[in-house]
Amino acid sequence: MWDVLLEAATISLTVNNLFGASLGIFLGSLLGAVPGLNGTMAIALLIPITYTWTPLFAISMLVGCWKGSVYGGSISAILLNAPGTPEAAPTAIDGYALTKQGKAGKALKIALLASVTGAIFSDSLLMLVAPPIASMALLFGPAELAMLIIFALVIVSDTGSGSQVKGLMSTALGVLIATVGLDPITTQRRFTFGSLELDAGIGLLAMLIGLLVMSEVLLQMEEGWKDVKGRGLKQSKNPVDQRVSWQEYKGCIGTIFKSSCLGSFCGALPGVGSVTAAFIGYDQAKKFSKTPEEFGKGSLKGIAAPEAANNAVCGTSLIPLITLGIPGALSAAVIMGAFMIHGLAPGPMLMQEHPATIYGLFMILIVSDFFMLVIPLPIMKIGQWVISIPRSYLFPIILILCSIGAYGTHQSLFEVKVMVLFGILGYFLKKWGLSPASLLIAFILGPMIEVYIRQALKISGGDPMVFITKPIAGFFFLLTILMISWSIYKNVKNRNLSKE
Amino acid sequence: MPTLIASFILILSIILTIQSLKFKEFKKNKTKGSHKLPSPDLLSVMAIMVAYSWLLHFTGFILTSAVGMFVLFSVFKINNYKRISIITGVTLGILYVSFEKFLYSPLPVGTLVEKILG
Repeated sequence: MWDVLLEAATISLTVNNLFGASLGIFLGSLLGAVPGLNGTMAIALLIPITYTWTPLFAISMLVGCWKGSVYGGSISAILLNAPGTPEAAPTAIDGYALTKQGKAGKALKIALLASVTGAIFSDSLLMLVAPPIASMALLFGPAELAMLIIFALVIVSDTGSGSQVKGLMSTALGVLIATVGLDPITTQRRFTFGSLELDAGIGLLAMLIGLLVMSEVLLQMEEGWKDVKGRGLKQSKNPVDQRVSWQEYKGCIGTIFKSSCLGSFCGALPGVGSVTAAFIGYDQAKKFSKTPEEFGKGSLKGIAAPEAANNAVCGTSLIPLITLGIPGALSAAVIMGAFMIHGLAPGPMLMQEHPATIYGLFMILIVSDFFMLVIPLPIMKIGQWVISIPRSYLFPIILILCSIGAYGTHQSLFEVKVMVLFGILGYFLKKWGLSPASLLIAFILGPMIEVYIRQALKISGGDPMVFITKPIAGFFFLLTILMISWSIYKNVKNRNLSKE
Repeated sequence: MPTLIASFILILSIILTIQSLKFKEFKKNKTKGSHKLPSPDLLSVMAIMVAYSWLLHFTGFILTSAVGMFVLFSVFKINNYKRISIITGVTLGILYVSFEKFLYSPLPVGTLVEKILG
């Protein structure tokens, strides 16, 4: 074992490979900060240029790019309230609130510290316990995954809207929109109205840009028309407001640790992904906080929790990929393609056939996590300058960037129309108190839940008791019931208090 | 599946209607949400974006975006045309070069422009 580790360190910890990882982090942070460009797109764009590179250099750059993009998404979420990536959506809640208070530097730095801590935790876990976690993930069949996703949906329905009913309605609407297109099992057309473009369903990126970015521009126009015409958001000159003290970081350590554990667990489960992890991380941090009323108003824990959770997904989502050949997330699926291009077939034999390369990759990941503390700093500075520009200049540019972002995914002008439609819809949803974030997460998980439920029912011969009688599925069923009961109890209690 | 979800939404709508009729905090609109009508400026931006997405097919990305940005800047009450021209030119230039030269993904020229240019 020690021989393998020594060989791995020798071949991996070279200036070249570490430069590759650093370059990946820089490019990822930069692309992730642009609303509409996500980690998956950035990795997909970079894969073709890595063909002639060594496997370690290429894969470290791609994984670095993924990590960078996950953090980069939080830069625009904090500064513009426009998450660069979907997993940064919960970060925007408290991050943008701090920016409005003139403390953008503090918000960006706690996000960076939480991201790095989450990533180090997850990568260490990947190196130490990859095989046992992978075998645990193997226990999750369709019924267990269906119940896990239902549990996740109930949790996210509590995010963003004032009432539980409105939250559930946003979630249900998201699942309903996800059914547009061909039925995943029977390939029957659903809600396509004869349009061939709708056969593949509604494009995630176009919908995401519309719901999160365009609607935000419309809402900001309405909320602060004078502010739009005037100067951009003013930032405090006091250095204390622009940095994170040791005491503040120490205060968030518990939350970061819990979110890192949650994120690592979500990453190890195929298909759950960093978006779910970020929302669960935020929600749990709020639920178990002694001061939940501070959440949404610029709480440091509200930024640290989703950032630690979504970054913790990156490392552990490589566990099922490397040990079982199953990607844990969409970006991991793209990285799986890169593994194969470079002659490394993911699966149970990978660790036996190329142990030095794989352990070498783990080492590069851990070392590059420390680089993340420094590399995104110039991008942060650029971002802080951007928010000082009057928004009346920024908004037209953002709207055009939204269009090009929606078009760029599939080079389809139809996606631009979808983006505009969801931009307007998102504006009205926010106005009526419904949560676009819950809708979006339900839209992402909707197709998965449908397939898993139908697969589970097919396996059990149509017996719905499969979702309760299987131990893990039953456990998540119980958690879902407890979560709903807790929310109802909380609402009734709040109502009684307001009556008094 | 869609029927199941639609029924669930219907049940939630009924609960929400009952809540808004029964409970004081809903009557006073204490929950998040507002029913104020969008301002004319906001409606203009929405209309411009709808027209922009529709015109892209005919007049292509560069031409439609250039006109779109000028119109949007005028809605935002910016009348410094020299500055607007520079911002529009630089933004669209960067996008054009990125897509055409680096991403090898040509931007749509537009059916009308194609016809005129032959």
